[in-house]
Amino acid sequence: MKCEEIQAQLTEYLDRTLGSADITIVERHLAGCHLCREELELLNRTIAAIAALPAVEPPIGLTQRVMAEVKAHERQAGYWQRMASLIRQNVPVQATAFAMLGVLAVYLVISEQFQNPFRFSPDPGISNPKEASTLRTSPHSSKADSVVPPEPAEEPVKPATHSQADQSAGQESAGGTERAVARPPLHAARSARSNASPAQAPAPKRATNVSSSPAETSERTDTMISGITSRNHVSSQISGTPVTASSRFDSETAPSFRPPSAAIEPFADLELVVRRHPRVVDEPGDEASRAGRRSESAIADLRAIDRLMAAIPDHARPQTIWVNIPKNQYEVFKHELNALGTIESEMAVPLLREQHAGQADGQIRVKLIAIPTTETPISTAPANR
Amino acid sequence: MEDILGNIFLKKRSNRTEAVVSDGISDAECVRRVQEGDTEAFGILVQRHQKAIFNLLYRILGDYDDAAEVAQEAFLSAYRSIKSFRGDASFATWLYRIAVNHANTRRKSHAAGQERGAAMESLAGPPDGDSDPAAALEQKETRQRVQAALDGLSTEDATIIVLRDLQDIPYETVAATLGIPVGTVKSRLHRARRALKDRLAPHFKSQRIPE
Repeated sequence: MKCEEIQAQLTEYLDRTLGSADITIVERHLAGCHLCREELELLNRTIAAIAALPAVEPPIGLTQRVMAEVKAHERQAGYWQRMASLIRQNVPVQATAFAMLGVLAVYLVISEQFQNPFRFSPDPGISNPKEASTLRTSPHSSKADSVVPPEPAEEPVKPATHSQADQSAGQESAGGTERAVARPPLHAARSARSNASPAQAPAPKRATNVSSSPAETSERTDTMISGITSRNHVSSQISGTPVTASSRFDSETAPSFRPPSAAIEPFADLELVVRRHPRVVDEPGDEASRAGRRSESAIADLRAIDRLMAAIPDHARPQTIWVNIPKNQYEVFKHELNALGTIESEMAVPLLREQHAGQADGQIRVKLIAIPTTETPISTAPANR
Repeated sequence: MEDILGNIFLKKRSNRTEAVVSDGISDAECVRRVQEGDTEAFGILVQRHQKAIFNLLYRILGDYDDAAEVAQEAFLSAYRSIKSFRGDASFATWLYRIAVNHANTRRKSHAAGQERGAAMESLAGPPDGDSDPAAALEQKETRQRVQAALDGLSTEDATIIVLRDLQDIPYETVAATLGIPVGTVKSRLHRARRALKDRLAPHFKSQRIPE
């Protein structure tokens, strides 16, 4: 046998794992081969040198360090493991799945609302899209046409009676310098706007200075309300902001002002509760002056604050509308609102993620809840004269 | 170091006798306890195997601090995955495999990065015997050369030599630790021994052959 073959077996020979026959062959070769004997000797010394390496003591505190890391790992993983274990042991799988589905559903609803806070579920009262489109305002329409009151056929709320309209129209102050204490009926306001010439159109939207003049205040209020959304009728808007389709509200049957069909309502930065002043009633027999004032009111454009209130159907129940107002015009808006009612509550509405509900920069969205007066209608005719 | 194991159990048993009894717990029993959430039982395993694991790593890596660090990592890895330990091999074999894998990773990182420092053989304890200073010095020099030769081997060769020739682990266990057949262990061991012999031969030839 060649030296190479013998040397290949030396490892097992030294480890005494060779068979007896192979041992005999190797030993017979070693007896006559000086090179293989030297190789065996060197291998033997190498193994002996390795085996002679002393054992080294591990560093003091190795166990403590390992256990400290183990406990730190346990603390990190412990919470979730315990939670998972508790759920596995104590909560049935079906209940866990049901709870997770519920959480997912809430998350989807909230995330959807944050992505487009002014998009709503379709108005259950408007099943025909064409019908809905007729009730919405074109973004290119003039400002005077922007407030679209509900059509009588579409409005579930009883429209104001003719006598009420006449009474309201008769009380409108001329020139708009005085605070309006009565509002024209909705159909009268629409008629006035449709007949208005471009020269009689309202002033441009932009309001720059704040003034205490009633006329200027009226104009500012006109411009600062950029969007009106009413819960009680198909929504409309003034300046082309996204239209909100809120739910129809049946005032005859609904037990409260919050309609049951509206699961989601627009976000608002502020919530105002306004109790309307008692209705102003005309004195009888003043038909001439009332007719004159009605013609003037048909020509003059309404202030936005009036249109705002006019957009609220004349309910004996609380009404909710949403309006967009420039931040710097908010106090003016409240001042205007005081002429129409008493602000009984003003509350900032906390929003998730610190988002603002305003649709544009510098605007705030106000949820205005108009509640009816508890008093009986009074006549203010002597006071106006 | 001997008291560490006792200390762990003194927390529970409060007497040394119990600590001695606890030392008789098998690895399998400790593993079962750890798998059931008894973290302290893992301390027994660490205490029991730390010296072997540390020496294995020290000889493969050739650096004391590296060995301590990798030993710590290996034990922590073993703890993290002890739930998956099914007892197909012994715990020691499983732990050796984890340690060897960590040593391979560390060696590769050294190869890719900075050179390792010289082996700290001086920390390996006093030389055997105290009668002949010249023999002691020669013995120390031999150890340094052996460690340097081991450092020069591939990780694969160094590992198999340490397992078989230093720790005297049987072929079958080495095969189980490295996850290779026994035949491969034999051929790889032969190759590693010859490589180490080639590195140490000049030193051996310069020495007088012991009687």
